[in-house]
Amino acid sequence: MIHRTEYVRELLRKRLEGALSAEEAAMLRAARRLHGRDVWDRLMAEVLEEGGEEGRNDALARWTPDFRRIKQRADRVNRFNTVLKYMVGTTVAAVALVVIWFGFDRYRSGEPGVAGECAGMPPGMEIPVSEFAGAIAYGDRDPLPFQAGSEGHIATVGNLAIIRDSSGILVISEKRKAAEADTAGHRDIRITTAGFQQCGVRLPDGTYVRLNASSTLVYPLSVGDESIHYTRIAGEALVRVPEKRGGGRVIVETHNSQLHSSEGDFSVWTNPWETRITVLDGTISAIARKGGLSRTAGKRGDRIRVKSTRGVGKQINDSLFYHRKRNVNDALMWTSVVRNYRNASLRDFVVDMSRWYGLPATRLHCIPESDRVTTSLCYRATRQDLIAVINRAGLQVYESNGQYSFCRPEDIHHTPGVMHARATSETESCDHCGNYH
Amino acid sequence: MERGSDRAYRELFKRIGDPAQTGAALADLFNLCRKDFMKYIRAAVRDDEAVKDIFEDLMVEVCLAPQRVVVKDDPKSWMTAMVRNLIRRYFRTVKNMPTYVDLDEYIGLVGYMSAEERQLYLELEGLITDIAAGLTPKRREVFLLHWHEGLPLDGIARRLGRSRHTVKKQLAKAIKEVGKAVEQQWGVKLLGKEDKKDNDHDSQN
Repeated sequence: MIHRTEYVRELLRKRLEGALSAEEAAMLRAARRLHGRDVWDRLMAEVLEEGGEEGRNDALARWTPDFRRIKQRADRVNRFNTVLKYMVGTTVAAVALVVIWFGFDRYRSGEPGVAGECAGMPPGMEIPVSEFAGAIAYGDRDPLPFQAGSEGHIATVGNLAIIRDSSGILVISEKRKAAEADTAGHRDIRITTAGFQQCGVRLPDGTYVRLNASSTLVYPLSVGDESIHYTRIAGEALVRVPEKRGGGRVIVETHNSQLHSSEGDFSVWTNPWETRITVLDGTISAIARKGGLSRTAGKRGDRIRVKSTRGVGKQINDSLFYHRKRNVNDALMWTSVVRNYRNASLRDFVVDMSRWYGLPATRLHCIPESDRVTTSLCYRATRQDLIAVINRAGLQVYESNGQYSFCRPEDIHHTPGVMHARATSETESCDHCGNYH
Repeated sequence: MERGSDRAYRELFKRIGDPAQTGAALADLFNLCRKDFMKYIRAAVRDDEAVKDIFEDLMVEVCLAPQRVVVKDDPKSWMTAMVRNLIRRYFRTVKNMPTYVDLDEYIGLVGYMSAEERQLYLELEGLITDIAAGLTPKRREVFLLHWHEGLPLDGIARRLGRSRHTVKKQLAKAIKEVGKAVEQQWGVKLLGKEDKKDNDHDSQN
């Protein structure tokens, strides 16, 4: 049967003679599949050649190729392949040289604190969790600082235990079900980071929050609906919400909006007048505090921005903007050891850096909106390195009483005045000159 | 020289690799190929000039890398595959044969199936799959990769992390076992169908 090649040959012969029954045709097709391409081709060639050498007395039977020409063709192809190989090799080497030269040139140009490598770590690496630090506050107690490298139990607040695990993450866990008495005296737990600090917090429902520097996470102690988990964030954070079943969700409150998610990763950037959300995974709904505006975003790179402005009669209005952007790197740049800014707004750069360095930067309106900066900065770069980058971008920095300003001294009377992390009230006129800045 | 054996081809490839013997060895190779492949090529390609081109291209391919071909286990299979590729290239470039079309069907060596043939083939395919389920686990694994995915020996060996030699042996045994079972069961199945047909015919009468 079909496992025997002689039987398959017989079927092939019949096929060529046109004497194949339907059953045999099915067998032949199955045999082709059963034996595979190599055996099939061989059998086919053998059957076709069984009649001996081509007997036709025609030009083809007497024809012999020009072997010298064949050899020449083969040599030509071989030479071409060799040249092609060298050309490709040379091109690759040239490109590699250009890349190396370009990298070396940038390195030699000596941007301070700039990296190839940053603190012995490759540029794409995240700031290690082991370096996380911050402070915990609850009730009337003074904040309890926790330093990089520390580990173990930190505090017990009501029914919640706060420990720092071996990886460096703060874990808030429920020791038992919450009771009314647990919230007496301390309504919430506040975790804050200062300049040069980041920290990771695992909340009781499994949500992970990574806080950037100069940021605050407030976890309210409540005995309400167990399926809804509230958190407040000020500053900048990366939030990872694990899947919640049965209608459960996490609500993150910012100064001017609420973010709802039952599963998703997103970054959030806030100040008193603005919240920016970038979706990394899952679905997030943003609801503005005023005006009943809301928007749901569910694709990686989706961005929602809730902006508050003071209108006529000091009334606050919220606006909600949505747009899509594929690249999410700029929203996560603060998690990396090297922050790469390419043609970025100088004002945004200063805001980011004032957050990381914990600097009270004032009078940001003096930074021209059109000014751009391109730089790479290691997270351990010094304050002098930062000021040098800003100066190179063409901006003068003025320091007075530990505060940094970007206005010339003669413009100092213009408002808005002190602004931390770009708190702009855009429709407010300047007290000094009456113009809008 | 023994006609068309792997040994004969290997010897010729060795000689082609030696610059002093290239010309004569190419002539011998051409004569051997003419015996082995001329009818095969002519069954597919009717145009004499195209047949000549295919032969010349085949000789060039051999000249390009004789050392590479000489180390192959089965040089004749390599030659057969090369002939087939050149025929396929001819049909694609000259006759605009779509890439998805089966060459054997295109040149009529297997032929398109009639409805009856297709029905029988599907039944046979089902029978073979059923039989394969009864093979030993190792043989079944190898056989199903070959049967369902059409993987070559090297591909199966890579996928399963076994040597090519082991896979070749296991596949040969599996094919033999399946073939024997088909021999036993296919006839019975067809007879059953014939009986049913007769019964239907009788009952109609």
